[in-house]
Amino acid sequence: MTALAESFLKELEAVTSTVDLRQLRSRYTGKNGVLTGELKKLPTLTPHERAAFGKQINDDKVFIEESIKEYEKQLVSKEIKTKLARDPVDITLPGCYKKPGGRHPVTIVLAEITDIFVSMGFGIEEGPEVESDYYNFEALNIPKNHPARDMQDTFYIETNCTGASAQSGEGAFVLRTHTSPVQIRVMKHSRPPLRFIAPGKVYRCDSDVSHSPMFHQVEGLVVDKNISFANLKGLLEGFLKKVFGPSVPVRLRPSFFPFTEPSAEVDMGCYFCKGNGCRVCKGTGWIEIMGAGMVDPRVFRNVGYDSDIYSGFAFGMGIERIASLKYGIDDIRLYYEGDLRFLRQF
Amino acid sequence: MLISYNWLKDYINFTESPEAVADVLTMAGLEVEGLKKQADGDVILELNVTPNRADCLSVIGVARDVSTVLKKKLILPEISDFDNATDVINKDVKIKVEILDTNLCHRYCGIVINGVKIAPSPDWMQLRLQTAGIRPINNIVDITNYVLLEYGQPLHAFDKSKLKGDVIIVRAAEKPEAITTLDGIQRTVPAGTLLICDASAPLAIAGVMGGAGSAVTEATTDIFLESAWFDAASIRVTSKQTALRSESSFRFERQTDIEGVKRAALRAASLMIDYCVGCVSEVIDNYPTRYSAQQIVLNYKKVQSFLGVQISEDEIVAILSRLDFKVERQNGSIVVTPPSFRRDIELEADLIEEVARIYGYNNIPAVMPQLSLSINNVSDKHKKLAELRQSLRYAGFTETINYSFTTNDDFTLLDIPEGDERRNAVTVKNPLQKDFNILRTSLVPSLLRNLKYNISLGAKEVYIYEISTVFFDSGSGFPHERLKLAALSYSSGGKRLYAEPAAHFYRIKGLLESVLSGLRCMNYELRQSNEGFLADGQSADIFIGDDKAGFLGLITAEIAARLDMTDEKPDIAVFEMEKIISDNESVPVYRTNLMHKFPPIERDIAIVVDDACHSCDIGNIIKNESLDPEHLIESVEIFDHYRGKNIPEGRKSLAYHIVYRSQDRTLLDSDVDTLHAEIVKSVMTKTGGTLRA
Ligand SMILES: [Zn+2]
Repeated sequence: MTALAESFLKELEAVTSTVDLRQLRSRYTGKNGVLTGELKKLPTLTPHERAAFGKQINDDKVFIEESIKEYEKQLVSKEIKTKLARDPVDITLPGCYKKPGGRHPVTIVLAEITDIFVSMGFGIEEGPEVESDYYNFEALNIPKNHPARDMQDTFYIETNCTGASAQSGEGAFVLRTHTSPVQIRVMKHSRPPLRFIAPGKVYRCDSDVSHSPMFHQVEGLVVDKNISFANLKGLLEGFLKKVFGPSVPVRLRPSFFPFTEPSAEVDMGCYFCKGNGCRVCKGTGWIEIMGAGMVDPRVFRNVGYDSDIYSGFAFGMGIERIASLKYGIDDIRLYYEGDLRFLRQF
Repeated sequence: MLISYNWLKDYINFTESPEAVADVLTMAGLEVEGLKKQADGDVILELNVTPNRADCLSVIGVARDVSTVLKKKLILPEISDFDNATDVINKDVKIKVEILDTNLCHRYCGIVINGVKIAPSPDWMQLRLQTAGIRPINNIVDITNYVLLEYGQPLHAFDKSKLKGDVIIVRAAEKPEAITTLDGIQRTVPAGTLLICDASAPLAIAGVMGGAGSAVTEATTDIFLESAWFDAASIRVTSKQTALRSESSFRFERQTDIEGVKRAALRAASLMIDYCVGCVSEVIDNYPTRYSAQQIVLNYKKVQSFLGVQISEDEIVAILSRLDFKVERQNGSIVVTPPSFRRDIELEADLIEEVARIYGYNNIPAVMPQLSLSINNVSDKHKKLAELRQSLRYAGFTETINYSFTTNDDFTLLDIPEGDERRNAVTVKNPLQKDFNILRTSLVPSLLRNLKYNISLGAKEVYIYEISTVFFDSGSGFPHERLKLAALSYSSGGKRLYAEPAAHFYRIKGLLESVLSGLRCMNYELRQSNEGFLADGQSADIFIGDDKAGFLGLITAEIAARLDMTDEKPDIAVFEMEKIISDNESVPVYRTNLMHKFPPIERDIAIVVDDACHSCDIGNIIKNESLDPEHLIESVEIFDHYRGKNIPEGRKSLAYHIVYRSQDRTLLDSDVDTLHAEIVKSVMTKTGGTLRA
């Protein structure tokens, strides 16, 4: 080791900060540094000596630079440690971020249902919330002055119309009582095969712990050749097992909807008592979860489909009802109060 | 419908328990919603009879379904037709029944019974009426109600001595007519109402309620018993118009069995003779509009393919026969004649349902449909709405859903001026409650109510939004429905761990900007707002093109005070906008910008300008293309906005960071110096600003 290298090492040992190190580096390798000074001696040497001296200076230079680089690494990590030690954080303080808001349970369940049907190749359709009497009732085989109208307590919209419908207290426009009118709207402007769902708000003139004047439904329709009642059972069983788990029992029992024939109520085994009977299922072990049926040929006639060629099924379900079962909510009004303590749980 | 388990046993011999019968009925489409044990050991089945099953509004009708499923014989009461009755007296007195409206009354039977003794009905009959929810009155009235429950045919007993002119006229009112009904109330029925009249006046509102004048009393000795068939829709309209609902009108509305009209009258007459001592003197059957049974062809193969189960021909025939359908076998199909009490059966599909419900839905397999693939309509809208909700959620906002109903108070709350589009609300004719009488045109009042509610619950910060349809009256036809998004941000200004990054206006604006950029909506513009409920100078209208799409800003102190909240000076920011999702479903054409690889040169400019000067105007001056023909400016970003020390009153300092970059060479300082100097000069000239020292 040269004397120059030795004196450099001695100085390096005394260095304790990156600032000092930078000074040391410029003192040795800078424009007017020690090494440059050494090089100035070259002209005084013989050509023979020059080669050896040149090589020696170069070796020193490499040695010095490498040493500085190495030492710098150590210093930097030491300095970071010191700095952190001087400026401690309390790792238990909460992080600084925007707390995400809550999702509405109706939105969550709607999205879940939509995803399941979209995965089966269903489209998504929509219709207006204020419907004409024709789409909400007549086209669905619910004639005026028919007791089937009593099945749904209807909100009527004030219009300037007079005549028979005004006389009987009914009107030309209603807040749709179900999402079924979307069936008619879609069938009127497209041809089979069809498979879609229609989610949306619906309205009934009714309000208590389990009834809300506004709630959400998802309607579904499949129309094709050779669609059977067994297919309706298969699809709805598959759907409910996806939503409530593969072991949930599902049964269909005869019912009446003017726009399906045969019609069915779809029950699933009570989620809470596993079929033993409890308050929720009124002791029956079964919970009514949706309505369904084969499309009534009168409905096909109203939209110009030939029921000798095509058959189909329709189904409808209440979203709040499914959400209430999934999340154990026993008062439907909670969905519309906007209580953040409720909504932020989702 | 309340059905006595013991009463059912009058018509079927069975041993099944009440629970088993309830299950049989439920799985055959007559849902039993509850079982009620009675003191005498009987069990009442609470049946939910759907509107199509008028035949099951009777004990015999329900018994028929039970007998069909249990494959047991239905035993019907034996009824005398009194044709050769020895106890018929006084045959000379003839009551004439004239049906003037044969569209609304297809059949009218009358039986005259003389010499009855009014008394309480036997205990067993009173009990059966009571368990079915009908109050016993006297033997005559109770028998009419008993037969109504048994057969589903409404009957009415008149005191024959009150009939004037020995004539019954069935007619529709030509003008509004007055009648005092059994309940003692004088009513006026509108023209068109079907009435039962004698020679001088209306005796009863047909099918709905009898008149007080001809009612059976303690003193009655002679009865005129009515059993008739009235048009269902007509009775329903009358029942609605008079707001009178009775056991009779309920059954007439759902269509009664026209072929059973006389049988029910005879059954009641037999009971009256047994329990009221009288004699039948006359049996009248006026049947001008005959029932003609409909024949329906049912194809076996269709049943099998429609239900998706291999149900045999014999089984189909057996089920329909047990339900009293007449069945004639043909090659591959059957011709079915439904009984007169099943007017709901009109088409092949209706027959298939009958077969299916008796065969048992549980016995039909569950098979996933096989469908061909197709491109379906899953619009961008749903994806975008999901993304929108996601971004609002991560911005800290919670979704609320409020009722579409509201009141005009919304407009007063926000000082919405007369003539403003938002006052053009849709009115609900029959609101559930008074404050629910119109449909919303704005979501903001709902969010303000949500805010008030949450503050009352102790919330210190409220960040909420709603995405819902609002409704505008179109004058005629369908209302205009539009999807709106509104958000509300409130914080009580209490101490918090980390400093709030910006003033409230900038936070709600930031939310709007993040929402819009998430939706790739860049072509909007903010202009000074003149919404009365937003604070001056802290509000803006959102424009897309020349159309106002919404607003944002701080709610004025005055409006906030109206909310009457515990926080007296609440700091509330809102925005509301529509056209959030474009209806345009066309596939957009994207052109990706090339990323230039030459190094940039970066320069800053800080300028002191009047408070009134808009930061975005300065940005636009900088980006002015005439100064930069080579398009060297890559980006301009504001990084400082300062008012206060070292800046004169009424002025502010704005600082911009400009990135220059060439697409085809490495820029030198000298390339940028002149351009930058020109830009600085231009900004100063156009804004009257000075460089910040
Ligand atoms: Zn249960």
